[in-house]
Amino acid sequence: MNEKGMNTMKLSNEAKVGGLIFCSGLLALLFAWIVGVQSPFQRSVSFYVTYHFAGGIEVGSPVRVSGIKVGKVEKIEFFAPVDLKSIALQEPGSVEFENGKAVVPLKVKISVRKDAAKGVRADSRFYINMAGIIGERYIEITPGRLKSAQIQVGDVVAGVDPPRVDQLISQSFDLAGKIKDMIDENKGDITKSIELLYKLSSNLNQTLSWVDKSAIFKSDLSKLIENLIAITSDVRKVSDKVHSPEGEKTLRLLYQLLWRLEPIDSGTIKSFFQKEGVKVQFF
Amino acid sequence: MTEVRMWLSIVRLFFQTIFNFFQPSAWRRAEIIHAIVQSGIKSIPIVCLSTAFAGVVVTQQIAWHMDLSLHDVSMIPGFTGQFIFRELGIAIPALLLVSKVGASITAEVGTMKVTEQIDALKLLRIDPIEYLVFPRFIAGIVSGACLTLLAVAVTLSCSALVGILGYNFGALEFLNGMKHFIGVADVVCALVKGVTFGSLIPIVSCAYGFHCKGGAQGVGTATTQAVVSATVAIIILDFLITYFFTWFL
Repeated sequence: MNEKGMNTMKLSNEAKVGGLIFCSGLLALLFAWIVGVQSPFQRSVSFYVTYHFAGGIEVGSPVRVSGIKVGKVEKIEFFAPVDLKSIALQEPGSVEFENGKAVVPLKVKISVRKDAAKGVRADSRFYINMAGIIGERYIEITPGRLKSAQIQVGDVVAGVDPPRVDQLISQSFDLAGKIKDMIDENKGDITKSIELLYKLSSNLNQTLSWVDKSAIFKSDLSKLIENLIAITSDVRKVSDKVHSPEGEKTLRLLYQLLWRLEPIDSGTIKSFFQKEGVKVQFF
Repeated sequence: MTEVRMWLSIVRLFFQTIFNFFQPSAWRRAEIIHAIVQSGIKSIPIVCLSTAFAGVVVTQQIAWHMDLSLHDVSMIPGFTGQFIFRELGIAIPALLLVSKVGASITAEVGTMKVTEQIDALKLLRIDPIEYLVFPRFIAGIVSGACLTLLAVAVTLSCSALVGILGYNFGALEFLNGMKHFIGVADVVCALVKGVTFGSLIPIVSCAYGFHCKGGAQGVGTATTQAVVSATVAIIILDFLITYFFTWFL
């Protein structure tokens, strides 16, 4: 190829720089997509969720509807005044009052994709969950019933506070302290109990070793168990028969017989036999 | 004391160059494009090659340590992704630009200084800052940003390749694992660093070139000092920008 041909094939500096900037722009868009920047052309619904304790939620945390990521936390406001009537499904402890006005400790603004917002209703629940082993916090929205009103832009709904692990730990410490106090107060009794338990287990151990060594238990134990099984089987059969109508009739008759025999004493029997001509010294 | 004076003159040169933003005569398109080709386009092969291998090495090291200590390699995408976006994909191209472009600029300007070409420019009433520094400064900003994005992309791709081939990750799985750790602040931090380092290199290099004395030996000494100073400045600025983005954003 001659020099002229080579020159026509070479890109001009402008084209090279243009290509570099174009590629860099594409890469910037790719990175924006990777980090989850939402498209400015995508329509979403923004509304507020109130909490008393938000357990690690931050701006940018994901929002999921039925487990699918459909939005994010836009803004967090502290001690924001709200119209009490506007809070749908008020959760206990989510609203406090200051000078007669309702104040929520936390008001979280979230945006949800418009197609997913169809499932977010007035009776939806807003849980704060933790994902994966890295402990990423997110808001999980459970879909509400179709007959409930759909969430609208700017609505305020009450969220469900997550369990307070710090409180749980604090209460555990309190409980541990009480247990320790109780142990300290009843140290003597507990020591005695432990000693008795120790003796008991030692005796039980000796007994068990005796049972283990005993020839009786070695030879006859299985027979004894077999007999016991046979006996219980017989007893069961008898009890079944007793519970039958015939058995109940027999029992009733037996009861009547005993009732009649109860007043009979030795004198009555003697006179009965004498009347019959039998002269025998019975008693 | 000489170093302090040198740094003061670097700061002064920076503000003089910034002042040229408002001078329409400083925006000479052909010079700027030529400078971008010299500092940006011609650095692409070396930046891509170096960051590709850096990505492979870092991913393997992180995976090895995670496997050793946690017996779990599921967090490789997140850790490598964040490290690449915050440090590796930015510092390596910046340091390569210092040694390639910075040294070249100092040698060029220093030679012009010792051969009295800069004095000749002044005699012709041409501002050397507007004529020599400003195009390189703009080229440095553009190249810094573009090369940073390119380097991050190459490093992430190689890192993902190691994850996919060596640790049985799926491509989407790797991407999703990375997404949990990387935020908008990381991308903005990368771009801010790229632009800062890209603008710093020509300023430091030109300042050392302007203060070049003697003959060929003076040019060599100025070049060495420029590379060392720019490298140290980049490392310190890297710390400051990272600190700012970590604690304030």
